[in-house]
Amino acid sequence: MQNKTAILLIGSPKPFKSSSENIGKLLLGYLAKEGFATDIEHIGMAIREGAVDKVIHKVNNSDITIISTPLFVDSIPAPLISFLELYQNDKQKTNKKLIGIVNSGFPESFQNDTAIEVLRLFSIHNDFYWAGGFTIGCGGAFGSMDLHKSKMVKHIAESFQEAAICLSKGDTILKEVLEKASKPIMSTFIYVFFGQLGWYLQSIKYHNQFNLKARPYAK
Amino acid sequence: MKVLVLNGLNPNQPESNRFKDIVNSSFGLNSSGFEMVDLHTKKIHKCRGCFDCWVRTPGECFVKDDSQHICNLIINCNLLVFLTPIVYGGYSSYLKIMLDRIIPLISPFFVKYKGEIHHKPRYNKYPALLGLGIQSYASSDEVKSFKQIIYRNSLNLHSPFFHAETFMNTDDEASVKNTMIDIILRMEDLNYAE
Repeated sequence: MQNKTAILLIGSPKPFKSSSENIGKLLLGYLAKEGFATDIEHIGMAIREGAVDKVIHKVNNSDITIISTPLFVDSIPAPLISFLELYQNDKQKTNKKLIGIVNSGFPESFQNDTAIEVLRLFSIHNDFYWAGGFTIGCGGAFGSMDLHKSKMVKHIAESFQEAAICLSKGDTILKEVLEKASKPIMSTFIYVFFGQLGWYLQSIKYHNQFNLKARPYAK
Repeated sequence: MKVLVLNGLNPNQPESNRFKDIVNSSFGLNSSGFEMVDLHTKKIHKCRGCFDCWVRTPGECFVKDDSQHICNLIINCNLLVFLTPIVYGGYSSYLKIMLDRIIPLISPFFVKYKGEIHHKPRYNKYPALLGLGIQSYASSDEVKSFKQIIYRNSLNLHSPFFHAETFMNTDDEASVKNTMIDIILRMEDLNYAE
């Protein structure tokens, strides 16, 4: 019997080491353990290289499509919207599932809900079966770190593992499994404190630590 | 009242020019200082997600293109209008490529605002926000999603007021125009005139 297939579409404009790629690969890895043949595509690169049709063909031939993307201004980034605008369902394969993973730099995972809703509405309009959306906050805390070794994201790894088992059985992802991944990675106070410190430290590299409040367009 | 319309309509869709003309005539006649930017004619690169606009060149994107001029217009207007087809409950890529580039207008630092963590304002004042979404097929879920995104944008942009209105692309000119004029009058009542 032919293996079931899963493709990960990365919506981050960063070509390497993005949080979206890192977190998406975590779920894809668990699907591979469940026997899925897996593939990865970067949407930004596909658009730049004129390979959108190739990616659409792959999506249309996959049993599961995972879209992992950062939150950009309360929605998905523009290149990913371009891809969704260009997408054509060839309707040859039925019962295709779509999963969304949205991560953001806000500590509250619910701030990603609007972006997940865009992905859900895309799936409904294009005859995918919406298998569920993961909303993950504190994206700045895990970045490109090894998620298998991190205790901080243990609950996300467990959630993805349980999701992969659901999907391998042909089921949708349980609500409690989705909710487990949305739990805070750390306290809001600690995340905000280290976040603020991080911006200062980064600005020192450019000698801008006293210029962070600049208002170049003020009249 | 300074009104800035970011036109994110797809120039290849037949109804785009009709809606652009309606918005032009509704706002043009009722607001002094009205400007519409046709985003599809502008050179705007996609946001790289590098955050250089917060730490390397604070307040301004490091990548030079038309987005700097548009950011300048945004922060100095009273009413910012997003004109877009509704794409799966969100904005078109024509509009979103510019909106992804507005983060230099806010600060990297966090603040608790309306019970949630948001970025601090960089400027003393921000424009009110109006979303005008055009549907090519009826979907109440997509309307709800569009309105929710406008609301979330208003929080993150520290807008003093927001409103979202949706239309079907088949709606007749007179009814669309009447709705828009109603909105403009309501906005003016809120005393955003300089």
